[in-house]
Amino acid sequence: MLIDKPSRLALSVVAVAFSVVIMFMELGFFNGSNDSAANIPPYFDCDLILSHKEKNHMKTGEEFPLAWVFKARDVPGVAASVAPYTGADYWWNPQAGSRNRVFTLCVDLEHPMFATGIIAAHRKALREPGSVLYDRLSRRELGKIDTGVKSTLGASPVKVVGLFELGPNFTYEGHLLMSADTFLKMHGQSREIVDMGLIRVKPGADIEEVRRRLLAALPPTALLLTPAEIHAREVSITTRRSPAGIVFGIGLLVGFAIGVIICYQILFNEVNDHLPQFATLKAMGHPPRFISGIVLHEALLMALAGFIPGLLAGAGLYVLIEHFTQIRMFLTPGRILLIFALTSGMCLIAGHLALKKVHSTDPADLF
Amino acid sequence: MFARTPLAWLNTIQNKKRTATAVGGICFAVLLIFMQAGFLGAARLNASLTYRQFDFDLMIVSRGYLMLTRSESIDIYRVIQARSVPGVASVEGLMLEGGRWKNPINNDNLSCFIFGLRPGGNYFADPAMNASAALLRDRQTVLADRLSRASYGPWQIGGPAVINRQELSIRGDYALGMGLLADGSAIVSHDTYLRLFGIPQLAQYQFGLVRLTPGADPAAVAAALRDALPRDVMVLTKPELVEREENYFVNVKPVGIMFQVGMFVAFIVGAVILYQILSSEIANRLREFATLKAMGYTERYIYAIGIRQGLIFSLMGYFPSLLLSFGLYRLLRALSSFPVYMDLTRALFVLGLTLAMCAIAAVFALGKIKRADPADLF
Repeated sequence: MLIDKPSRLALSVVAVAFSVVIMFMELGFFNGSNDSAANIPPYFDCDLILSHKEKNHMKTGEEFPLAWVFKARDVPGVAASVAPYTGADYWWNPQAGSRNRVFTLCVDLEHPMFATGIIAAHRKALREPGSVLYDRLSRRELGKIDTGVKSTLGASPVKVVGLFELGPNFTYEGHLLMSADTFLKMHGQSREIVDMGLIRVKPGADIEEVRRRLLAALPPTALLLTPAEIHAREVSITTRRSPAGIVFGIGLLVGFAIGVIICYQILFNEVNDHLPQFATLKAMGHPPRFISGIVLHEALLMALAGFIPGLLAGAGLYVLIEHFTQIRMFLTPGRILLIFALTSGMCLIAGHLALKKVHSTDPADLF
Repeated sequence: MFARTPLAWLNTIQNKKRTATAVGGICFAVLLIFMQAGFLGAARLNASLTYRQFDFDLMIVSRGYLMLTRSESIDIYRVIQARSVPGVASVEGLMLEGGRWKNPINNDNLSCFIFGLRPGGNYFADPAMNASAALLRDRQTVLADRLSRASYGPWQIGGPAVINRQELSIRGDYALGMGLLADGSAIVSHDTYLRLFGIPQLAQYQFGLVRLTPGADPAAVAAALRDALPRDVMVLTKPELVEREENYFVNVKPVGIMFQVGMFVAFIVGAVILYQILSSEIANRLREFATLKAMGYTERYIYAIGIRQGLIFSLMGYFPSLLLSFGLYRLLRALSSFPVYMDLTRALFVLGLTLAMCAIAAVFALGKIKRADPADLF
């Protein structure tokens, strides 16, 4: 029945494909905003992260004394603990002389517990004061940066000794990695005040057990989270707190609603045109379930047929958006499945709405 | 050429149910455009909202100035130097830095932009705000922003506010709202500002707000200021600054670009839906059109019917979605404190897009009529 009118079929598929694209787009924005805001936690190479209880996300700076980090080492089950330093600073574009906001993450070179492979590869160069690793995916406004480029961070001269890949977010145009010594010297900041402690537990130790012991040993204002919990917290903060999260969330809902309406419209016309056939089937004694089956089957076929071009167009759109915003857009299998589920749901809802018409047809009216 | 019979209209209303579903589809496509245009407009408005509230003709900012919340300090002497340039009536120093507002209920720390100003100075376009700012003469007093997010928790005039772990007393309030930039804002005096950020002495501002003597030409005074001041600052007129701010936010920051892409996609989707509707409409009436052709009506006449029908459809879709988007905007404002407002320009802009959508769809759909050969029919 679907291929009865090829031109109409093509149009239906295009319409479904477009609502799929809209959903991909909004979901992409939503995830782009969330992923990029939570870009740091996946690189933590530790089991627990110590912070002040009131520090509700990575970028607020509730601080605590370095002594807590040392104290953690005495807790049974803890293998090592170190304190990274983080800060925001302005990066001067060495070519254009413009200034942009960057996030600097400063690690202990011997036990970085953060992007360990990258640090290990550049350990020797990073020991030199004023040397930094530059995020190759930082925004173009930061200039053309390669190994060996000299620039200015805040008021201090820095030299790029290597590159890594992270990607900017809505707050920071770029990221830098450097040694804690370089950072502290640059900011004249005290080594004793930190805002995070990275803790690794002994192999075989139970993380929950160690967490309980640490909480007992440290002051009540201490908070211990796993990197996965930190990641989840970053995402939820972006989703709930920042208008961008809310705006894109609403966009996704509106995209879905529009998809339902478009599919309903198509199926309705489809059903309307085939009404005599449906009525005939009914008159022939087929149960309503059989007829529902046909329409829902048709709806699912439409979802599938529209989904594939929609997915391709969506992937193209992601590349385009990534090019313009330089925010990384990840199209993971989970997200593709989510959109597929939404598309099927959309078509099924539309199918059900359209079916009302079929069930209300009386075969007697036809003849 | 007048149509004696309003054929397009009659065609549209012949099958009411089909028309209703078609209009529903268009309505939602237009709503999508409204949503994205609203986001984009709000992002633009949000970027320059703060500057629109301040009263100045020229602004002195640092050479590395990027946007409101990413400024760099200027030496206080630049403000003093600027006062001696002819045509300048007054220059006020303004400080701005991100701080943390503590929610008294759950102890959450929220981002808060702190403006530091001289109580008694003329900073704002609204005299009531200047009068409130004059209340900040006592140390550790603050004006709170009524449009700060609800996550700030309860506060009241006369009560306390905790900013950067220091307790301040709230002396008044004002309505600014930072939208996408921060959770809220607060205004304090220079002295309180220095204390909040642990700055030992007043040596730097972020902005110098310049007001001109009546009749002075902003461009000429700006040029004179640029000559008089060292190269470490920039002098911008108010329109230049607003334009720069909006451009930065809309064309450089990812959010602005995303809204633009969103609007473009909504437009394409709308055109495709409209095309689909028009083309099935025309396909259904191909016989009638071919008959008209055979009867000797010109192609132009038949085209005009198709275009008129496209217009009717898009207008029938536009008006309900205009109404719906008022509701959508209200919902967005409530959920995100994002300044999404409907204005005439946006309503007309989207109307223009809708008509453009209709024109594109009609041109493609009408290709069919051209190919309709009366001879095929009989």
